[in-house]
Amino acid sequence: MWNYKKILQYPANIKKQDPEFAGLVITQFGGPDGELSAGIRYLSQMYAFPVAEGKATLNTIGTEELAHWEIIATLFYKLTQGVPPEVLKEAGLGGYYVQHGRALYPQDAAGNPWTAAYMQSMEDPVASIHEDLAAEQKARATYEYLLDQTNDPAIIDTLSFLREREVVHFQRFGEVLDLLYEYEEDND
Amino acid sequence: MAAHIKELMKIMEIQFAVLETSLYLNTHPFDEKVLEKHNKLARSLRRLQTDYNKQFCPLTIGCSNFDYPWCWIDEPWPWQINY
Repeated sequence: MWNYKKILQYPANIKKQDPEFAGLVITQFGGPDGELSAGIRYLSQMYAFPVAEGKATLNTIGTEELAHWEIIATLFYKLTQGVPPEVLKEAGLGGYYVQHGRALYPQDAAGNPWTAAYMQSMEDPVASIHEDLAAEQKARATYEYLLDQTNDPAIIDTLSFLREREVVHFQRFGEVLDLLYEYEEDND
Repeated sequence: MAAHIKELMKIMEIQFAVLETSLYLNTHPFDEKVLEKHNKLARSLRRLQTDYNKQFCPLTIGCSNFDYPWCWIDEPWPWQINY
């Protein structure tokens, strides 16, 4: 089961409000390579995964991704809080505002709603782990593109942390893949 | 910085170390040294959290020292805090 702890995994501050950047960072809230995709992907794959270390890794990382989902939401929330509708519209969030106000809605940076089509979950564990390795690289690259789009040192600090986590997750999934190959050898 | 935010930052740091050791142990379950490190960190985390929960409002539902009235509903929530 999942419990909630009333604390962020890592601080998320902003130096100044930037609704335009909010429209970009939302890709990690509801986009193809974002934290929600990662969390739901891993937490879907874990049920049928045949190797103990794999189930545990998918469970731990999947849960951590939901904590990251909260951090991204915090950035969007702070970047748009109290920003007047005209300013939001100028910043490219006019369509978003009329459909959601300043509430959080899982969509990508182009306005496409989150969909499970962004992810795959297969019983074949070699396929699923390769999906997960790719996901971590795509997330890492996306954070690098986002870091290119801001000068805010507070946002840079938080996004750099999240980028680092993708690198560590990639390593852990690599270790699961090695264990998987050993398991398949032992069971042939 | 407000006292409770300072305490939250300390908790964030240790809870992260606990997570990292857990994640490592998931693929290295026989690493006795790291397992001991995990437990040591988890003890420090539990001490910090117990102190925080007594002094401020508990971080999780299920703590037995909620004062009246029920403060779980209080702001700020984590996304409303300036760290």
